Parts: sequence; C-alpha cells; structure tokens
Amino acid sequence: MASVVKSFALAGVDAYPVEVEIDLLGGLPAVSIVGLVDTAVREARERVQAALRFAGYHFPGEKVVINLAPGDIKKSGSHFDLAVAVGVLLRSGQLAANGEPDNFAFAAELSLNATLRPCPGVLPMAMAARAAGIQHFIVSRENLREASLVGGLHVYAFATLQGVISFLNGETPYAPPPEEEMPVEDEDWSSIDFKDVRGQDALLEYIVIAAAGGHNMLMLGSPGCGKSMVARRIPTILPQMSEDESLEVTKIYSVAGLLRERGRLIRSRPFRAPHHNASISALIGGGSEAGPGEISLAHNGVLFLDEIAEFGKKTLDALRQPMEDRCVNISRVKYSNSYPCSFMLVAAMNPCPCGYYGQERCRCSDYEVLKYRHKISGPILDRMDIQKYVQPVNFLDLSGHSGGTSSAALRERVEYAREQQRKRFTGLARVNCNAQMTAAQVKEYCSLEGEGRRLLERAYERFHYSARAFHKFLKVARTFADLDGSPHLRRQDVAAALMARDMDREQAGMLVI
Amino acid sequence: MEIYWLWLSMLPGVGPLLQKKLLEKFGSAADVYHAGEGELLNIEGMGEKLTRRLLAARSLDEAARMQEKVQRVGARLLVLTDPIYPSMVKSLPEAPAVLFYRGTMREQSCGVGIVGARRCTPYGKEVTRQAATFLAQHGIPVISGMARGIDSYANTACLQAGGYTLAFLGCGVDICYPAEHRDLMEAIVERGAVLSAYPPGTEARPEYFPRRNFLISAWSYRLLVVEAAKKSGSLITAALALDLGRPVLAVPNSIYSRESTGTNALIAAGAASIYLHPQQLLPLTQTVAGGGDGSERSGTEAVVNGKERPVAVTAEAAYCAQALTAPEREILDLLADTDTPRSAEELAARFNGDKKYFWETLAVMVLEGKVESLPGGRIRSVGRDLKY
Repeated sequence: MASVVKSFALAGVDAYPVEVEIDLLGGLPAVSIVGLVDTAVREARERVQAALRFAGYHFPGEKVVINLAPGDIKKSGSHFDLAVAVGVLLRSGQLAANGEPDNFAFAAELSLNATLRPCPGVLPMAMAARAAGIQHFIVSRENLREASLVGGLHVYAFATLQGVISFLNGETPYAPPPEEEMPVEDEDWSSIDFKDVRGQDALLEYIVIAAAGGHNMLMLGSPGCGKSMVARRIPTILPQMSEDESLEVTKIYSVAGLLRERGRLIRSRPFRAPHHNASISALIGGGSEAGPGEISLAHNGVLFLDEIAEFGKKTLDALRQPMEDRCVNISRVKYSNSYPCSFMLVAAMNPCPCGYYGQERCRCSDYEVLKYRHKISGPILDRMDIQKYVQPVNFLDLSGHSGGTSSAALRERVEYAREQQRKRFTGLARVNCNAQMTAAQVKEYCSLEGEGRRLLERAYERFHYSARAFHKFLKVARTFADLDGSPHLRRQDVAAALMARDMDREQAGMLVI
Repeated sequence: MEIYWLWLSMLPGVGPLLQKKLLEKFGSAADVYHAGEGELLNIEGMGEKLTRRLLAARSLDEAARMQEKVQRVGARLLVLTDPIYPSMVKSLPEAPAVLFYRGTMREQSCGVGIVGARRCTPYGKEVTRQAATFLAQHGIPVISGMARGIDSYANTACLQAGGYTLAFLGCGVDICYPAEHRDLMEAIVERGAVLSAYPPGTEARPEYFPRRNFLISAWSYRLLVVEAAKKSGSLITAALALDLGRPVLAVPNSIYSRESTGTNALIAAGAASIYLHPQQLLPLTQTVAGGGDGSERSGTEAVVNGKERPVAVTAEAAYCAQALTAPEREILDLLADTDTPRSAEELAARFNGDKKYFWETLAVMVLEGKVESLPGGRIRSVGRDLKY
C-alpha cells in the first residue's frame, strides 16, 4: 500500500493541503513524479535521492511513483522535498509508521547534504494546516518563527533530515533551536520621519489630507525638489495597521518569498516604488506561477510611481481595474490566483518635458506641456484626488525654518480623521475612507450650503472644472472637515480643497485650444 | 478649371514670376495649357528648352491625381485670379499662382502678422496673448505660422478671443507640424484657414520655410516680431516684410535675454519700431477710435504721448475696489515687496496670521482674481505695476 504524507501547495496568497503519495512498483529503478507538477517539484527526484544517500538511508532500487493529490491542480515549489523523502522512507520501511503521520505536515526544501532549507509561503501553509485540523508542522529552522505566528499548531524546526527522521522514529525528543537574537526594532521606517522634510509645510498639509482620506496623490515638481523624499515618508503617517491587515500583508510577502525577517509579522505599512520600465506583470502580478505584483506588495500601504509620465500607457491602464476592485485576479487557463491590492497611489512627475515649468528657465510651449501630460493615462489621472506642486527648497532659507513636524504628530491627526470616517461609514460595504465614496455617497455626506456652495460654483465658472473634478473637490473638502472633526462642510474646507488641484487650475490658464 | 491651375503649379522650372507672365499673356491657366509653341516662345524668359519641356508636359494625369488628393483632404485652391486673393499680395511678383488652403478665406484676409521664437519666454507668451487678443477684439485677422511657441500662441489667443486667424505652413495643409498642434490646426480650419504653397502630402522641410515666411509677411500689413534670436526664422520674416515695405514692430526686452537678441537688434538698427502697445498694430484709419479728431495719427503717437499704457490682459479685477480682509491684506503685502511671483509654499511660510486661514484666503483670492495663480504653483499679485 502507498504511503501518504501531507504537505501544502500555494494558490495565490492561500495554501491548500496536498497529499504526497509514494508507492514502489518493482521493476527497473526509476522515479516518476505525477500530479500536474512543475520543474521545481520534479527536480525533487534528484535532491531527495542525494539527500537520502548522504543521510545514510537507502533509496529503493525499483520503480518509485510519487503522486501529488489533488492531481488536477498545478503545483510548484521545492518545498515538497521533505514530504517526498519522508514518504519514501515510510514506504520502504526505513521509518516506522508508529506515530500518526496523518497528524504531521511537512514543508522544506532538501539540500544534497540533507539539510533543510527554507521556502516561501510558510505562513499561509501553517494557516491551512490549522484549518485542516493538522496538529504538527515540520519546517526548516529559518521558517520556524513564521510558521509559529499561527497559534494552535505544534511547529517543529530541524536543521537536517536525520533530525526529522529520528524525531519521527521517537529516538530523540524535539529540542527547539536556540532563540536567535533578533533586532527589536522591526520597523523599517524608524529612521525615516517627516521631521526631515523642511520648508514644505504647505505641501505637508495636503499630504496629511491625502493620508487621512485615503486620497491618491500626484506630486509635480522640478527634478530634485524632494518628491521622492516626501513620498517615502507617507507610510509613516498612515494609521497603524490592524492585526488582520498585518497578517494579510505578511501572507503576501511570505508567498512572494520576500519575508526578510522571517517569523515576524509585518507591522509597518509597505512602500513600493517600482521603476518606470516595470512590465505589466511585474506591476499587476503574473509570471508562470501567477505570483503577486507590486500592487499586491503595496497592499495596505503606498504604491509610489515616480516619473509616472514615463510609465507605459498600457501599464498604467492595467492598474485601473485592480484599483477599483482592490483585488486582482491573475488568470491562467487551469486556475486563477486572487491577490488583495488596496493601496494608496502616490505618483510624482515633472510638470513639463524640461521639468521647470513656470520657472524662468523653462522654454516649453503650453502645447508641449500638454502633450507631455497626456502621456499619462487619463483614467489614472482621474483617480488622483490631489495634485500638488512640490516647491524646490531654498537651502539658504532652511536654517530659518522650524524643525519640521514629526511623523508621529501628523499620524495623530490622520488617525483622528480616520476615526471620523470610520464612524460615518460603519455598516457600509466597500467604503473605509472618503476617497472610496461613490457618487451617491458624496451626495449624501458632502452636502454643501450657503457660502461653500457659492465658492464652488464660482470656481466652476472660472476654471471650467468637470463634473468629475467637482466630486473630487467635495471628497477632499470632506477630509478637511474630518480633520477638524466638523460634521458639515464649511467654507474653509471647500476653499482649501479648491487649492488641491494645481494641475487642473494651471491647465485652465494655458494658452491652448 | 482647377485642374489647369494644378497643372500650371506643377510645371517643372516654372516659378511664380514666369507663372505670372504666362497668366498675363494668356489670361487663365487653361489658356496657358492650350497655348501653341509660337505663342510661348514669344514670352520673355521662356527659352526654347523650357518651351519644349512645357509642351512635353501637357499631360493632365498628374494634375488629376493631385486634384483628387486635394479633394480627399478637404483642401481648396486659392488661385491668382480669385477675387478673394488679396490684391495686396497679388501685386507682388513673387506671389504664387496657386495656394492650397483648408478653412474659410474671408474677402479681407490680410491682417497683422505675429511671429517669434519657438522657444519663447513667459514674457513673450504674455505679449503675444495680449496683442492677438487685442487684434481679435478689433476684428483684425492674425497672420502667423502655427509653429511652436509664439506662432501657436498668436493663433491660439486670437481664436480664444473669437477672432479670425490664418496660419501659413511649410508643409501640406493636410499635415500637422508640429504634431502636438493637431487640435489647434483643426480649430484654425474651423474658424480661420491654414494655407500653404505646397501641395497636400508635402512633409515639412527646412528649405520650405522661407517661402512660407514670405507669405506671412505678404499677408501682413504690419508685422510684430515678439522674440527672435540671432539667425532665426522670425528675422527672415522680418527682413522679407521690410523688403515688401511693410512696417515691422519689434518687442523690446532685456539686452541680456538670449531670446530677444534679434528683436533688440532690429530696433537698434532702426529697422523696426519699438512695440509698446497693441494700439500700434491698428491700421492708421482705425486708431482714431481713441483719438476722436479724425486726423491720421498712428497708434505709436498715442502711445508715445502717454495716452496708452500696456496692462496685462490677465488682470481682470481691480482689487482695490473691494474691501480686503486682514489675511488678504497680509498676503497682498507679502506679494508686494517683490517683483517676482512667489510660490504658495513660500507665502505660507511667511504668513504670520492664523495658518488655518491661509489656504482658505488664498483660494478665495485666486477665485476673485485678487491674486493670479501662475504655472508652477506660483502666485502673483495683479493690478499693481506689472513688469510687462
């Protein structure tokens, strides 16, 4: 009878249980692995043979069939090695099946020297193990912390295959590896703070608004004026991630194999800044394994597109649907993976081809400027509620400025405004912040009266704003009001919101047809 | 009969001068086509060789193909014998017998030419906007070349003010050069006309531009050169206009401005008068609107006599007429102590009042035209002594 050992396969950010079945069929020595596996799995054949031999075990000299069930879903990854090795030993009688193998699951890659290597996606695997009622999970040492994040599961970590076998045989009791000293501050951003940004107080006001209302933001400015520096600090003022949000982010990073500090929940909001020649698959997700892209890695954090005008139109257009749905489906013929991607989009660009529009040295004609700006996909620009100029800082003046505002102080304001929004939107599906309001909700929550209304009408007449821009002003004004805790939109909220779209205002004044 | 005109315009070795001689002799393009060898040889400038060539080229096939192309791109012909071909141009020996155009040609299509640098400064842009707007408001056609920079601003500002404008191209009228002016070109076709001496399908080439510059100066009874560097196309246009005896005005600028070396030199050489006010662009008979005594006074006199002072067209509200709040007063004061515009960031930093009111105040002031919001997120006061 075939031996059965449990492991997991990844599908998107989730794992599902896989049964690794091994049988010996007699005849000439051969190994075949079936079950819709990819090359990484198939190569387990060589790794396991070498590892078993090195560890002093005997690899059966007959036909070995290895089946990964369910057999109709594509599986990939090298983490099946350990399960295969254990299965072979079980089937060939070198490991007594006196324990309850049903209660064990395995996930680790084997080296030719029979050591256990870490693999990506251990966190979702541990979650799947718990869901499937498996009690014991054996991983490599490097993956121990990550797997232990899931409670209600016995996780064992070993350095070598021999260690695993002697533990399963009941020969040696489990000895947890010594606690490694990990640096305590896991916050990547601890060294990054808004207090380093000086002389940009006016811009900061709008950054706070963007963070508070979840508004996407476009920064315009000449080269070297500090757009990237500002963008990099935006995650530091977003509200603290909840436990659930942290787990979601950690899962994505685990699947992508990017969990650097293995075994620690990611608690700081991600900041991703893909280069402008990134392909659609790199951004959205894809590849042969349909893995997560930058937008999913930026989930619950900030996606920063520097030089957004240099991004391909197609690449940017591909962002539209995921931004709308806040999740992305990567489809293959046989299967499709779904990744969450709820991020705040922050983009930066030069205002014109030379980068110095509006300054004395710029010689770009308005038509050229417009042509340059039209390179950005319109629907994406449409999703930017706030467009602000970043002014070059006068270094001689810097000494006179106050030390800047700390991220902690800004975050406090953001969290206060978010609290107002949470109260307003409780019980409403798919709306967490002002930026996500639908047209009907804008109508309901952003009613305007008296002075504010007159102000907006006036702006409409003067700058010929579109109806869409109108909605954006209202949303931004709502956030301004929330920052003050005001239930109504006041005149100053509308006025401040009217200054939030520098580019639109500028284009209304251009000498173009 | 268009086909004969096309045939005439496509004859090898026959330029505008010879075309005119032929037309004078035979009356129309069709008659030239049917002319015999003896008649042709009688014409001064028609050697034996040229006559033989002309007789050999008596096929209308190519002209028919061209006619089809002209129709396909929606172009029309303006031929020398047309009543709407301006007499001011017709009388010039170099006037082409055939012009291609798209749009509407008015009976009175001559106007004021505005040309200048492709890479112009904000100053040049502002002067152009003001001049073209002024001309549009006075019903005077604006003649330009739809090139980058000053040319396109002149065409655009004129259209925006509801005026009539012509654009002369160095390529076929179906080709948009530069490409970013596609919308502008369509707007000109709709409310004015684009013209070219080159048949449809001709791509722009540097050697085509002098002829187009000639047409701009020919169509202009006055030419305004806004910004021109040394050795620029605008200076060629100015020289051509001077040759035709058309008054040329040049916009003065700082002697250190690279974009204005050519225009300043025109002024220094006495070739161009100094442009100070759009009033100078009006034809002599129209300036009396301001003077009222009916005498022939040029706009320049009115300006020099101190009657006119240029004011930026963007200044649309006299803020002093309105009551100012304290924060508004403060922002205006911050803008007053400097000639250059300030960024909103800088204003915010220097604003001493309650910061809470800063954005509100600024937004309202921009809306009410008490300050002007400039490209690059910068703010400038209006209504004071502006440096134009």
